[in-house]
Amino acid sequence: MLEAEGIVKEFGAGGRRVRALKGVSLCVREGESVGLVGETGSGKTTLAKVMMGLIRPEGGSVRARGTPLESLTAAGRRRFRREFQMVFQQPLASLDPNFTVEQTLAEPLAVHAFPGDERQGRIRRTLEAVGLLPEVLEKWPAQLSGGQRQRVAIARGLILDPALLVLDEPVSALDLSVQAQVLHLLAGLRRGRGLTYLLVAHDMGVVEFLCDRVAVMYHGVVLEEGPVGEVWRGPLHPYTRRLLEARLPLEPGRGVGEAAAEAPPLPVWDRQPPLEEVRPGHRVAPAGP
Amino acid sequence: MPTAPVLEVRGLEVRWSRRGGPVPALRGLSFSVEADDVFCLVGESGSGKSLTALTLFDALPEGFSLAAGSVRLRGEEVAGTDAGRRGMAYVFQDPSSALNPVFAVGRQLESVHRARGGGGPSLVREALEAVAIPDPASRLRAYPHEFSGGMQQRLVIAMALLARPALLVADEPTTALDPTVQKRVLELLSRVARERGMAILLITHDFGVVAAMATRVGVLYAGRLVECAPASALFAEPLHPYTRMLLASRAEHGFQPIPGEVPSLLNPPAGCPFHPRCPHAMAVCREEFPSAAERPHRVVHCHLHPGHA
Repeated sequence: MLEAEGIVKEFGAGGRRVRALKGVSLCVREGESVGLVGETGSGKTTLAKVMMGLIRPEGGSVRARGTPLESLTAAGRRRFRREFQMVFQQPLASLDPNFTVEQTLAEPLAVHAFPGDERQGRIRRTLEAVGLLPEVLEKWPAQLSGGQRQRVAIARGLILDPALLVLDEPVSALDLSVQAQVLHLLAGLRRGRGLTYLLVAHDMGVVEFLCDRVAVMYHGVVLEEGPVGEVWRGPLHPYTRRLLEARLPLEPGRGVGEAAAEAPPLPVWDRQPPLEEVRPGHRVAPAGP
Repeated sequence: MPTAPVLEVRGLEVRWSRRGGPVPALRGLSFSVEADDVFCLVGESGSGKSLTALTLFDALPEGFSLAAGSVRLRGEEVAGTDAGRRGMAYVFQDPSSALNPVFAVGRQLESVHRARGGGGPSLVREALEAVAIPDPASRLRAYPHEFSGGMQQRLVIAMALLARPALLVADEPTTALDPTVQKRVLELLSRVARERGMAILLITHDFGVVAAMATRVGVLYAGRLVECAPASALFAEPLHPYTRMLLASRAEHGFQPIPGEVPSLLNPPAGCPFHPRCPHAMAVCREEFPSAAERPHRVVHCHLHPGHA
């Protein structure tokens, strides 16, 4: 449904160019939910933005339903913008402070030229789908709680009835006691609407809850990908293992775990290595260059 | 005679003065930190966890003021006084805000060292060694931006150690760091505390961090300390419904959702602040904040657990 192949993306200029993506490929099939995990600088958010056509890569191509993004016609491009939506990490930063909730939700409908008489009904239905009451329509983002803001951001992502939603750290900016509500909302929306998700997250519990497959990124390459349960329970790459070992379980008295604490950093690849399929759908890169 | 705790906080009240009248921000906080404790203060946004730390250092933000309460450092009252906070040091969430970008780190560490009345450079090198910064002698000439986030946080911890504190107050010290780096910094903190007999007051929202580090835990909600217990007891048998539901909302327990939202500082619910979200709420919960029920080594404020009064 959405496929990236051999993506190369560089930032900076002159002698200080940094290669953020080094020939990465990722495929999201219709109806599945794929998690993209990695630490700061792994390139996970950059890859998601490239796949949404928000950043133009230096190399490689992105195909939506088989058509490369750069060869989409004007009509095809409009359809892509409607069917593929992104919900950003910080709802306060991504919602326009000068728009009420109603204006925020009406804007995409106007851009995509929805008939005026359909707009109100669509806004009400979407609001209900994300668990918000109609009275929030009059409010400004600053008047909403963190959880309400994230629901508005999700509603804006849903208002055009997309087929695929890219979720960038959808709960990491939320209060602890509100995260689980929003995760259940996202799981329910996916079931109810048959949505396809591409989820960017650093929390492995969140990925396990919402995703079928996961890709692990490190310094601009994918090191391992496969079914979430299988990768989490039987990680093959040393980096995946290290990520999983860095989790702090809810068991007191175990301490931080000192053995792995001072392990040397893992080698960095300068280009995407080939992945070897070890089990069906579970692929892994060699341990080091 | 038993020695005084490193830190003893009693009946702390902080008020926020704003147009429309003052609102309480911290209400009747009491807890103590012993010499070998890693005391974790857990809470969500607006619970008052950072405010508590700022109160200890007499560094409340504009508009906030100490209305009542006592803060004793090794038995000596410091709340509302000009008394120095010698013996206490602070590590912030964002290490880059604690380092001056235009000076080499060695110079910054030396100036902290001198301000503490120290002579010679030996303490600085020792502090850098304590936080396991490789090749400290040459790294002293480097500038903050030449260090990664994890290494910057080690520098800040090293700077705090120069004060030879009996108590290190660390406010979300690893929240901005990646998980693998977080683990190393936490390991470092617990090793340094152990080696130097230093107590830690660790402020966090992450129960994973609490489980890994805490000897004792205080749970804050809407400016109230609702439960305080040894870490093992808190995880095995959380008494307050809020504590229990927060733990159940974690991945390990299938993300069981808690209804509602965190109350705003401006209009906290009457009675027990958790009652609008609590499945066990009774009539009395809407009216009065429960008095403390004291169990051996633990305290809980909940009408399900009546006090001994």
